Amino acid sequence: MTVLQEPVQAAVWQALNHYAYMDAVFLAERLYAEVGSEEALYLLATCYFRSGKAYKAYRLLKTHTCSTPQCRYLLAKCCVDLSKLAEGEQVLTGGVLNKQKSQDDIITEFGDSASFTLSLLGHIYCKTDRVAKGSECFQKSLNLNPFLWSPFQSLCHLGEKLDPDQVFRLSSLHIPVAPPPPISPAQNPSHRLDTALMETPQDTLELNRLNLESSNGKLTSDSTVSYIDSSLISPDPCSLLANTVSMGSTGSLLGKPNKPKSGRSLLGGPAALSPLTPSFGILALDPSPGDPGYLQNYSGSLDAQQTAPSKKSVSRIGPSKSVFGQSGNGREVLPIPFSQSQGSAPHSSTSPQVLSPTLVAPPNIQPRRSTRLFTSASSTAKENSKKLKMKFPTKIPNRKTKCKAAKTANSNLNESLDILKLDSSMNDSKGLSTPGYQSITLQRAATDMVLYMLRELGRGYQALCCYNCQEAISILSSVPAHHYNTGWVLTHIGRAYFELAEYTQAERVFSEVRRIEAYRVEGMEIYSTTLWHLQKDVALSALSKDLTDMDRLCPQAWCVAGNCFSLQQEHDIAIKFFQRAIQVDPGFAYAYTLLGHEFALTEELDRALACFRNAIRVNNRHYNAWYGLGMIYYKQEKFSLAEIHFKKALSINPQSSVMLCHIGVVQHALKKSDSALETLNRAIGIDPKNPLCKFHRASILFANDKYKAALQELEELKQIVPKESLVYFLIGKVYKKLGQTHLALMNFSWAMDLDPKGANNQIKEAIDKRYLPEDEEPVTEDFLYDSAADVEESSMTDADDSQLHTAESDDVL
Amino acid sequence: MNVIEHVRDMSAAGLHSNVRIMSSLLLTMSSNNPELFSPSQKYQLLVYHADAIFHDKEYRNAACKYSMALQQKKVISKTSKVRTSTGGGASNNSCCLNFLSQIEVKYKIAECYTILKLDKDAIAVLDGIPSRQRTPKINMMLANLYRKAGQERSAVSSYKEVLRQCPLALDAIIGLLSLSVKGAEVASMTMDVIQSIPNLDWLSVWIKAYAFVHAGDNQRAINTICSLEKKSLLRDNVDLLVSLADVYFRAGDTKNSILKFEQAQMLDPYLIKGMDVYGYLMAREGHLEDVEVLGGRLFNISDQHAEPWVISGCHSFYSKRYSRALYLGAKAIQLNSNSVQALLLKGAALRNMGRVQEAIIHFREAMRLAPCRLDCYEGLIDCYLASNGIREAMGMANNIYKTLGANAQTLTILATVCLEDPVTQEKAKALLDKALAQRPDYTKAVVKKAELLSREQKYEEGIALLRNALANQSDCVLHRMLGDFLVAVNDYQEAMDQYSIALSLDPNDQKSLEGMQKMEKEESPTDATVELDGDDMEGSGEEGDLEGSDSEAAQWADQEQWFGMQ
Repeated sequence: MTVLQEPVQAAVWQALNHYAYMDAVFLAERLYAEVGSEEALYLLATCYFRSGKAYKAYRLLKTHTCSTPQCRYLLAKCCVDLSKLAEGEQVLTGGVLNKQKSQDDIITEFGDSASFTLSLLGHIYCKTDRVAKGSECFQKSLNLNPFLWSPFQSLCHLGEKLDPDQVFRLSSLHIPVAPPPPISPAQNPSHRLDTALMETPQDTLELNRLNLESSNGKLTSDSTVSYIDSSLISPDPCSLLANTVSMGSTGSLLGKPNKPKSGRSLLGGPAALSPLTPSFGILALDPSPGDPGYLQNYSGSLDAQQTAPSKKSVSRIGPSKSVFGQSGNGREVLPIPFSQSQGSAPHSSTSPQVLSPTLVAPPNIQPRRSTRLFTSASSTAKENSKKLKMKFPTKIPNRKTKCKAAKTANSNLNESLDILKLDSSMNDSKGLSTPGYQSITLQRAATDMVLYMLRELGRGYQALCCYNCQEAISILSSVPAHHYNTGWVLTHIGRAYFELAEYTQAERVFSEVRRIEAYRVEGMEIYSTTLWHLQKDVALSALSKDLTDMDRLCPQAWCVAGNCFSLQQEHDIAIKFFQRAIQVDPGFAYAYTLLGHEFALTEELDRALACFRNAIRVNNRHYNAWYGLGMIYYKQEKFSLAEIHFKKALSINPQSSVMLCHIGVVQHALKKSDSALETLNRAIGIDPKNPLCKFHRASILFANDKYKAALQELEELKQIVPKESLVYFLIGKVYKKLGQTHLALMNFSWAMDLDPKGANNQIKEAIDKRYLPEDEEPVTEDFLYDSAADVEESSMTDADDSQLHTAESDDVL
Repeated sequence: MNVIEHVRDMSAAGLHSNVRIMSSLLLTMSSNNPELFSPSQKYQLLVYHADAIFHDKEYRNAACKYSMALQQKKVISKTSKVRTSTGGGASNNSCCLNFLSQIEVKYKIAECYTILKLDKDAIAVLDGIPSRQRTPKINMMLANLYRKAGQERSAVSSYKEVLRQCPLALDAIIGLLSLSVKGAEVASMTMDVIQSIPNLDWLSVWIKAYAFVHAGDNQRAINTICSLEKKSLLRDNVDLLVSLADVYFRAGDTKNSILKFEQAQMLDPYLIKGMDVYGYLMAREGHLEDVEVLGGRLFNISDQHAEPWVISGCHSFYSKRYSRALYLGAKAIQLNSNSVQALLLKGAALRNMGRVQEAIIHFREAMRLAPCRLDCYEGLIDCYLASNGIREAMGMANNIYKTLGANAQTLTILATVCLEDPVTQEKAKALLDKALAQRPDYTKAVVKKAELLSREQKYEEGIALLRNALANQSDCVLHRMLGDFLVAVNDYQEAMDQYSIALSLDPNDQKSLEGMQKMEKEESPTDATVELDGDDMEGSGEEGDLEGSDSEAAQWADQEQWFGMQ
């Protein structure tokens, strides 16, 4: 059974690695038909899932009882993908009889994949409105694996106030032993060695993720590398093997390596298997079946599939030797290459007296590792030169995007942990190996580096999620240049500027993003709204065309298109595009909000209401939608409801002067003029230059017969927005009240000069109504909002004008 | 080769329609000229004829013909005393007579009667067979008939007889266990076989599992079946899965139950057994479309089973078409009078149509058939409550409480009854607390407790309770109730949130919508605007959305329907 299974499994994994999903699926199907084991089931499901057919994996796993944690995790993942959340939760936590497993149970059950499991579970909880539990899960997940970004991101979205310094650090859980004293890398070779050591996981990562698309050059380099590797290694591990066997641990170690060979012949020769991977190339060349070089490569290649080599399995290597034989399973045991080559080391700690022959000759271990390291160093050196990477170790994660960095770090961490363990055990029993220490320290340095980066970005991201935009900008701008100039960082800085309503700044940053990563879609919806505010229709339509051509399945592209048409006053088309965005991804809150604004513009208030509610349903911290709801209630003159919603929005985004301003207006409408003035003062305190706040303060003052104060306010306002007709209009009214008719008329005529077309009628109307003193206030308010709604028809020429109206009152968010 | 032998061959070859015509002609010949065939030949002819009719599914006719054959047999036995002494060609016939033995004919008659639902006649016929001559087949049928007729002792002895002859007769084992024979006793009867055959060691566990199932010990039944299922040899067995799902259902674990049923029917798409419960569960959970699909699928497999009828009955019931549900339930009962689910469906339909007394009869029958199922009792209690029979309801609830033990479900049922009576409010509260102490997440208990608290206007306590319950699960009703509570304490903001969550879980939840609208009205500053809003609500919204010719818009409108009704 295993005879057949091992090579086929290897072949499947290899096909998966080379994105040959069809082949992988076919082979895995054959394998499953042949052996029908749970492993094969898992492999087949994995193939389905990776080829993007989550439903296939779901059906397959659901039909067959799968008890292993991996299967259950995959099934839950599929459930989430297919939005069967309750079922996913049941799969992960459901015990018998309504008893839910606690998170600790999950941790023990899922072992080293628990962090991912918990993250998934947290996602489910959040989607089903159990925020407290969700955030608990995310935090546990981060605790277990500080290199995970998405749980942190989710926590930020939940509005949790986390300390990134506490989150992104190695807890005692990760480091069983205290870091050994640092020893300066005195010797050049050893230093280089360590560099190599640190790059090792990257190598596997490369294998795993990226580069197989290409390059004979790399291939040859790799194969030669491992060739050298094995040849260099072979004398030494043989003795090691002899040792282990003489220890009588099991005979399986020597017995097993034959199996893959026979298996390969089943598949019709090594060439059929893989001309590509180094591991198989070596296999074909390698005459001696007992050579651990084979094992190493073999498992190494397998390991490459598993992004995070399991700590557990590594620890398993020590006590049970048979693990080696099964390494071809690829699922159950994935010893990472490094620990593999050192496989006997932990053993030494468990039974030192037996292993004395090995320990007598410590150089035995060292050169072995060094050769391996050396080889991987050369391979990564090639990598580096190809990718223009710095050779300096601390720069490893630099050129990577966020998640990739996390992944690298992850494997890095595991590697380092193993090394830590191994070395500590060696240290315990023997107390030797300086290079080991060095590698540890350097490993630590690398992980610390990654964690430091995560902390920085985390702090920035969190500030942004709490809408401390200034802080977010300052944190994110202070990251090193190579990080700064990535799409992720710039997008978020742009978003921060956007939230601050500094649209020109935001636009600059976003256009930089476009330049660096033209393929980036995340955040482009914000960019498009920025352009909408700035009325840059040409840039907006170019962006829209670009994105919709590039990716028709992302909601952002359709949001951009919708914004584009919205700017062209084609509201019906815009609505269609926003609806398309929702159709593409029903979980995209911003699309609902934009659609809601669009409906509000076309006066379909009920539908707009529905849209905003949907947005809140999707993400209840989406303050724009709360704002939208408040806006609509305001229009319907349900002022207290409007206040509730504005306050909710404010509680999410406490720094928003716009929100405060609206609350002030609503409070005024509720005849709570004092608190309204207070609120507006607060708003102006936050943003002294916000013309809308000042305008409202002025009109409230005016309504409360504090003409002098109103006049002063308006004079200040005139300095900020000198071309705003409404300001002059209000000044006129104030003068009128003060009885200075000629000044009033002068200001009215200025107002009409400034805005001869659009608001003309209303101004006239208002002037007429001025003679009906009893309902002055409603006129002003109505007038303001009406004009805000109409402003688009009135083809503004003045940017400031448009900003005051359209931006602030309709779509600022 | 004489003509009888030809007929025999044809019958053996399965040419029943031909046999029917031929034997009918021959029998007429024989009756017109009795000399033509010997009595034993005539007997044979009659049996072949009856067989042919049996295959044509004319059971009453067949039973009559079989009886005629038996009558003929009596004639032979009288004359044969003379003949056997004289010897002759009887030896040739004897083998055929064995084949068409009297016992076999009696079994056939009993079979006809069972199909015709004339159980008493069937038992009478089979009883006529001396117990030493009964084959396992006869014993099995007899046992089933006894059990159905309620003669438990005779049924047990018949089942035991079957087991003695065939130790692996698992249906007989289930029958015994269902008649509350001890698991150990049953196991002892199969012990020898288990030990002698390799790979059958699971059988004792299997017996144990079903013993627990029939003893109503759900928890241990689940554990035992799970342990069976974990064994790789029995992995993905459909029958086990269905049993497991059923036990989960009885234990009130709907989620797990649905999952297992789903798995079972994915493994075996032609599965019929147990699907009625699956359909009922899904309908109860509100997946009506799935129920409809399932019903249609099962009708394609067979419409001669009760299950598809029950499933579409459930669909009608939960879409509030009670008379249709009643008809479908009646049809299901007609097909299988032992179907508990069909009885429950019909009972519930009758109750909702106001025919409480009839409903009570159905629930009682269901109770008799499945004494371990709580929903039978619940249905009955609902009936009593509907007809103001609080005392009966109380008696029944106490009865369950005593017979099935004090678990969260029984406690809640009892508390529900207590809640109806203003005198026993305090007792209800104590019971609910007890239930919640056992199972803090039991939704029914939480709902009842919350109702109680809202009646007592202890809103803060209610909010705490609901929030607590919602920490572990999300349930539309709970969110809505929390919303109601929050409105009561004037926390409109939070209440709005809770209503929207409730609506996002179940977009058709009328009560949440009402709550939300009520709140909006309360919120509105003046009466004038309220009325205006009311007009708006009716005037706009849904119709407009649905009329939209654009398909995209229409699709999308589905999502926003519940919002659009605002």
